[in-house]
Amino acid sequence: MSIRESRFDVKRLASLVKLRLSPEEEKLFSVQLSRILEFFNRLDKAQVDDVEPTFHPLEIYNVFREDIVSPYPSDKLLSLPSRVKERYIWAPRM
Amino acid sequence: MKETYTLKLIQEIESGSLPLDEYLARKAEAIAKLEPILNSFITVVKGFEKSRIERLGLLKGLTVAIKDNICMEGIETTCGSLILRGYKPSYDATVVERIKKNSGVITGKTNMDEFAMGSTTEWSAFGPTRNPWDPCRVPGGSSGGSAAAVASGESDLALGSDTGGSIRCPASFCGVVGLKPTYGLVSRYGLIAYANSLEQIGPIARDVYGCALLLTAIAGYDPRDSTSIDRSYTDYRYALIEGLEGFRLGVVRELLGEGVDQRVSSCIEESIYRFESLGATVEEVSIPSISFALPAYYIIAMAEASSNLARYDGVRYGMSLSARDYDWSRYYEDVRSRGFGLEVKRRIILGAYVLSAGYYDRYYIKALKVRTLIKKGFMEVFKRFDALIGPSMPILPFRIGEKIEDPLELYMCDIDTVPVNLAGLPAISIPCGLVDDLPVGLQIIGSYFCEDTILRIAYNLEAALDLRLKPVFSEVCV
Repeated sequence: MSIRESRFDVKRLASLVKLRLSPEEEKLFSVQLSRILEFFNRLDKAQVDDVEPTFHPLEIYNVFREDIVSPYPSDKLLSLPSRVKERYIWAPRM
Repeated sequence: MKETYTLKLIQEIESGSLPLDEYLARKAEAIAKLEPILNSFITVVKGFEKSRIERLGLLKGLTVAIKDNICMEGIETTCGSLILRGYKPSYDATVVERIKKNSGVITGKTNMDEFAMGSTTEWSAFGPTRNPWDPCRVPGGSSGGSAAAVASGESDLALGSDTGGSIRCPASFCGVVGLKPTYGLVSRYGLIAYANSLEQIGPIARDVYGCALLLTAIAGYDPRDSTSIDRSYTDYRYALIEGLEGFRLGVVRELLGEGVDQRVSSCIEESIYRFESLGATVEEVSIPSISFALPAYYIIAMAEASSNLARYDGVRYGMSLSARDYDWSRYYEDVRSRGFGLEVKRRIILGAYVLSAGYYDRYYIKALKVRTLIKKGFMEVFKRFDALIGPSMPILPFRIGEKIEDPLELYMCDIDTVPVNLAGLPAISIPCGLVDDLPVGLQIIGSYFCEDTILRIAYNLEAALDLRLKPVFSEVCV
């Protein structure tokens, strides 16, 4: 795949991950990210047709713990947000 | 046992010839003197030098610096990012809990590339850390603050985290010892996630003994991290046995290939002769799938990062904006755009891309299949070898600003470290020489949970080389 083909819509992608790029960032990223994707395309040469993917380095299955409620001091957590009113955390308007 | 820096320090503290309060005061002085030059810390714990320890546990009151992506109750933990500025965790990470329990004295939170994304510590929102060997040069990253703090003597031990080499790279560039444990050996509870399936917390120390000591303190099953492994744990100091007779070491051809500085290769070759003189047999070995490790690693790491960093919304902790008439979408965009730096934005965007419909199989799943090949490749050679060796970094520490403009060139520097993370194996970086007064690190890779083997090999090389490294900027106690 050529750089031209792999160039993608940086602005749209950024908006999907809730980032607003400055015009300079947009310009910089459209070149840099295309180059990085070109580098990712080296994997095209890997022979992996019958290979299973490894999502995790160790084979760990069904890790359970006892279903016991352990209390957590919620005051500590409520001290973290910048705006709290009557134990509610302020959030932007939906 | 050979008398190394950490062992001697412990003996002096235990015997009373170096009273603990005097030792801690010296450390506070070292930090005050060196920080204006090195910038190893984002936060120094106020009054750490006044710590009083009733009963000396395993760590004997030694100072430990903690990478700033590991939570410590009540102490600002930023991950090197503006988006977490002001965040004071409400709990200790398991490793911090264990260090305190074992009477380690925590000096502070160390500088790092933002969210551990980088190999130079230049991507910190709090300015770069400088290499104690030459302050014009990078200390490596992303745990550059931890490695610089140990190399300079600001702290005697430190914790780093290693997602693609972030312990081994700065250990190599700063001339200290750094160990990335087997995935699952050390609890990640309280480690702020970047790429969960790749990262591990590990020790950095001036010598192999210090590394073994701190690993002993932090390793072990933790029910709060469901990926930590429930098995019997050992005191790694007992692995430091003299002699390597009968050890079979493999030199991985792909780790010494194109792009490795000839001066680095020469240092590695010198170490190979040392291993042979210590009784080990050394042979060249090839793992061809390693040639795909870098793109596979970056695809997986960025994919996991884009998912993990979705949580930063400026509402519940860290950075927030004051205007009250925001709609939610614009608020999140504003917080994230102001709070994240360039490299983090790059990785979040690319991570979202490789996970998106139409590209998921082509990039993400393919990278995971390559991961399988790399893991199998390692398992195959571990049938014939006790450990594998190669350089930790292909090049010497370079100048601050030299590579920052070209992300791809920086990614290439991780060529020797990322295969280990893809497979989940343990590896240690140990200084093996100096080139133009800059340290070179040798990497020793072990099979799963064979930290004792790689520590023993490193311990023997350390003793044989007897380098006694001391950087230009250092305030070493003993």
